[in-house]
Amino acid sequence: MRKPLSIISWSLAALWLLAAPALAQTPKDYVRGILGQAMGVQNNPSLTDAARRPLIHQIIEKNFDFNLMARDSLGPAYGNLNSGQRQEFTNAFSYLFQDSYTRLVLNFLKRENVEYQRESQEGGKARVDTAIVRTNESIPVTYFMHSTPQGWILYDVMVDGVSILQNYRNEFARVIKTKSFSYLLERMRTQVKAVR
Amino acid sequence: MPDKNGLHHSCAAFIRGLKRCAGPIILLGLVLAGLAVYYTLNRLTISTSRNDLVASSKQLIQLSEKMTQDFGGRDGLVVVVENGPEKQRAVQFADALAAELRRYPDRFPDIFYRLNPEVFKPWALLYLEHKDLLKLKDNILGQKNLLQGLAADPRVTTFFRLVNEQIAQAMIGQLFTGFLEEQGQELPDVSLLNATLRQLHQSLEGKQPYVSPFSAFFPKELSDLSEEGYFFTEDDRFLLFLVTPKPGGFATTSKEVELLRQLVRQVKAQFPGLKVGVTGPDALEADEMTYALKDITLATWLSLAGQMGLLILFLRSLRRTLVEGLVLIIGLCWTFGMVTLVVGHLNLLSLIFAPLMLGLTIDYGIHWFCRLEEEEGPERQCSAETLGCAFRQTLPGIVYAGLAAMVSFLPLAFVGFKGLAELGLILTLGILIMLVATLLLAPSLVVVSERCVSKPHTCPGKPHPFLDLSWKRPGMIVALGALITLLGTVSLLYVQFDLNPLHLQNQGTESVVWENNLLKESKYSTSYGALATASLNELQARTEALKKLPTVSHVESVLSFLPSRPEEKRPFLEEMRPVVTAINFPRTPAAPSNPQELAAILSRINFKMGEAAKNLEGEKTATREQIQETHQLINQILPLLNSRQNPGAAARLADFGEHFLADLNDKWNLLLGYANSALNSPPMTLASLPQAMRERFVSPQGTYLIRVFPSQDIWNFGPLKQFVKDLRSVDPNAVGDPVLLYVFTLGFRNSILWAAGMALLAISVMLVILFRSLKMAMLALIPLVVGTGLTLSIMWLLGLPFNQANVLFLPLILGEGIEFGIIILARWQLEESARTITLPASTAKGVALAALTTTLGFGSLMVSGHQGTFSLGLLATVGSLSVLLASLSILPAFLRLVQGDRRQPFFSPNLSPGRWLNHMIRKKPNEKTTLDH
Repeated sequence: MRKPLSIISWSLAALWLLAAPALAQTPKDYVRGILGQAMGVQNNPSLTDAARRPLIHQIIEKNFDFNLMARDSLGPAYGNLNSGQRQEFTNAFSYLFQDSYTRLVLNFLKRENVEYQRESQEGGKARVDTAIVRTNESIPVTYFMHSTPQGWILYDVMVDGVSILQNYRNEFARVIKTKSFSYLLERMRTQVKAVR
Repeated sequence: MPDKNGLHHSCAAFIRGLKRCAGPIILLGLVLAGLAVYYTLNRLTISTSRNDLVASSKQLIQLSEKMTQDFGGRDGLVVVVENGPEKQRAVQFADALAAELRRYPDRFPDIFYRLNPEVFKPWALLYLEHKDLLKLKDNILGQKNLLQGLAADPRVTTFFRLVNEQIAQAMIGQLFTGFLEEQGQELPDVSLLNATLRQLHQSLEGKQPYVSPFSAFFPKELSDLSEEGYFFTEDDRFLLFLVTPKPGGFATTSKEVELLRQLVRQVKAQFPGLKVGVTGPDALEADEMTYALKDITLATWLSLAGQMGLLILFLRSLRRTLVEGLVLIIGLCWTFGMVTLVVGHLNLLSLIFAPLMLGLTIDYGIHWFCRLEEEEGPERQCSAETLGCAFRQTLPGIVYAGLAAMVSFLPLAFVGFKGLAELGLILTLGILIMLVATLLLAPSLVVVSERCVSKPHTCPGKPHPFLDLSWKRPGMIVALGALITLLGTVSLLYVQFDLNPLHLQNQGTESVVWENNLLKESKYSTSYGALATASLNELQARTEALKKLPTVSHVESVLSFLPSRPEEKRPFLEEMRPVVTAINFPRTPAAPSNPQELAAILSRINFKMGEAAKNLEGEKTATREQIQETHQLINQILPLLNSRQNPGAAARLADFGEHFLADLNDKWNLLLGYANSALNSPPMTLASLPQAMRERFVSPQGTYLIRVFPSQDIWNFGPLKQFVKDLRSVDPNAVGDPVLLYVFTLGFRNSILWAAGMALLAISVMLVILFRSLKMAMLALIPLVVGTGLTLSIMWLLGLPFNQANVLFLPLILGEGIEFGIIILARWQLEESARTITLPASTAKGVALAALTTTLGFGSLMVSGHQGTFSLGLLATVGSLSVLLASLSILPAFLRLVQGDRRQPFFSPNLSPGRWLNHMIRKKPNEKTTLDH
């Protein structure tokens, strides 16, 4: 019985070792790494626009905590959902966020001069302020992340003072208040079909 | 052939009688002419009103007159001022012109160019269009956070920071949750941002003056009343100034138009570069008459000189030319006397009877003189025998031609269109008088003015053939005639009947130029339909019904000057008043703005706008242009905020901030005042309106006027017909210029077509009766049919349409065609010698001279810039030359062909002049045929 256990232990240790660099990263490095990957894809001349999209999509998929974001975006209404609804909502939210953020990256992030500014950490959460700077143009972007056993993972981005997660909260709350959760879910389903 | 002998003896007796009575006949003619002139000068009136052209019993005219009586025939003249980038100059011009016109109250009893805005001020917000007030409310409520934020921290940087937040919020919302919006999330309106950026850019460059950017946010008409109350077209392109001239006919109106133009020129001199013109229904009518009369006067002199020259050239005698001229003048005087006695006045259409009638009747003398010349032979010596022979031989042709001309005009006398009916009657009687004058006076004057001797003469003499033509292949010429007729029939499908009266006018005339400008640039016409209603409820119902019509651009009534649907607008005001009341902007900034801070904010806006500009394929063009402008403006402003590049940046930004806040404070307080007064004042009623306004739209009897303006160019018949149809669907008693124009145009066209058809039928019947042969009647119609075919083909080629002017002269062509056919055919039948050579030279010469006098007489009208007169001249020229060609080629060729079939010539007309002459003059068998006995 010791052999299989040791195999599992070694495997976990190997995974830990692989993950170790992420944990060892500072939040700023983590953000720098993500942006580096994204800009690598964006600035690879051998890729077409169509080919870039899935690669950006993958980067986003790996680096955001969708369960947390889905739960947080719905606020108290999340507590009233059954497990099936929660699962469906999370899946739809996850897909739509990835699609929207992919578009944001594809449109906004080119061969940019990114200034990495302040970094702050508190209670397992971190914030990294950056700014994309061009001639006569600039835009502040702040990344919010929290630590997990696997390392830092993003849960919100604030573009020029506007929190994406807060935007979701406001809009979802408005729709649930004026219509219903079912209506919201239906609209999300329709949108998922539309962008797929 | 008793008729022939009867004619022979009667003519001989007539000529003998002339020897004794020529002097008294001429004297009597002159006395009658003098009396006719005296009578005409004292009694004949001229009516220049278009209303007088349609029957006075018509209900439409009665309704129109009642409308004028109730509401006054106002605003006949319109001064149009082309508005530049700023309204200010046009407004100043209007004020200056008003001051000048007030010096002539008897010439311009009413001017209407501005409503005093102070009267309407308490209800100003309720006067806004429903959509504009809604937009204002949405602006106030939608920008509540921005307004509150700015009120809390009143600085320029705060304004841009709050705008930036809005844009960022909108962009994130659009990207991540846009799918939740029913109609998709749109970018915020950047009009105010752009207007402020423009002004900021100006200020940072040190340019003055400050121009409020808030007109993009608050309705501009609320902020400055100094330019309000003036009448601008919907697109603000033109300012309209309405003038009512002293009532009167054409002469009075022309003088008032001239005076108005003179005053406009004087005032305009103070405003260099400003474009101003005078138009309106009265100006259009006066200009048309003035320019047409001017051109016609010139054309008349040219025509007279040309015709006299032609007569001298062809008749080779100044004396006979003067004789013919005197005959025409005396006949014309008699005709004027007859017109005064029978009709009593001339209208706009019958004014042209004289040239039309003379164009035809000059031919009778020409035919006679040409024949006399032939009978006289190379010696050209007048004798009683030649006179008698020429008279006798030409009499049938001339009398039948005269009868045919009368018959061609007679149907006009029976049409329902009063103007044409009077013209038809005058022409029919006029031709009869001219025929009598020619037959009586021409021989008498020759007897008196020439030494006629007695000399044996064989009557008829030996005619020479026309140009020695042998007519060897008449079939080919006849085939050509058939081809021309066929082509003409095809052309008839392509020659249009242009019913647009503006096309008749001189396109360079001031009134036409400005009327066209208004139509093209603003789709505004000075012509409108008019309806009267008995009650306010009916007024409201009809106004609503009219506004729904696609042919109506806008409707004016007393309701236009009251706020529309105030009950629907009040809730908007009630909704926004608490917000307006709660926010208070100080007049000065809390602190000067920092250029670097502002630059940072603007660069953030710029980033988003730059990206948005790259990805706006799906956006509306206006939005795309606005966003591109934002991007450009910020790129221009950022270097100016750099203190190293622009050391005065901080001071200029501070100055801009002060203006900006003071301006916002003013606008906001104004808005608050308007909102309070609109909600607190009693409702606006008719009694609150100025007296000048009420008089225009409410009659003393308490009826209400509705002015309906067309949305399309109603000078064209199609849109006009639809507009009038729509008007009548709302009120069958609708009147106004478009309705009158429609009735006039339709009545005119239908009357002309009916009269032309009837004339053709009547002439055909008359020819059959006279010649007692269908075949001969058909032959007589050949010049008309082929000539008309050729005319139509040429009109098609030249793109010349029929219009209301040239169609009046169609009877001239018709009359000439018939006349030439009868003249040629009568001789051909009467004389064996003529049949032998088919077409005698003197007959051809008479026909040619008659056609050329018409060509020259009316062709001279082509000097006119008035399009109607020009087209009339062109049609008369083309028509008479075509008829001439057909008369001298196709008809003789036909006769040549027919001659082969005829064994015996005959001429036994049913209504032979010989019979009635024989009856009138008691023949004495032993009387000699010379004048000397």
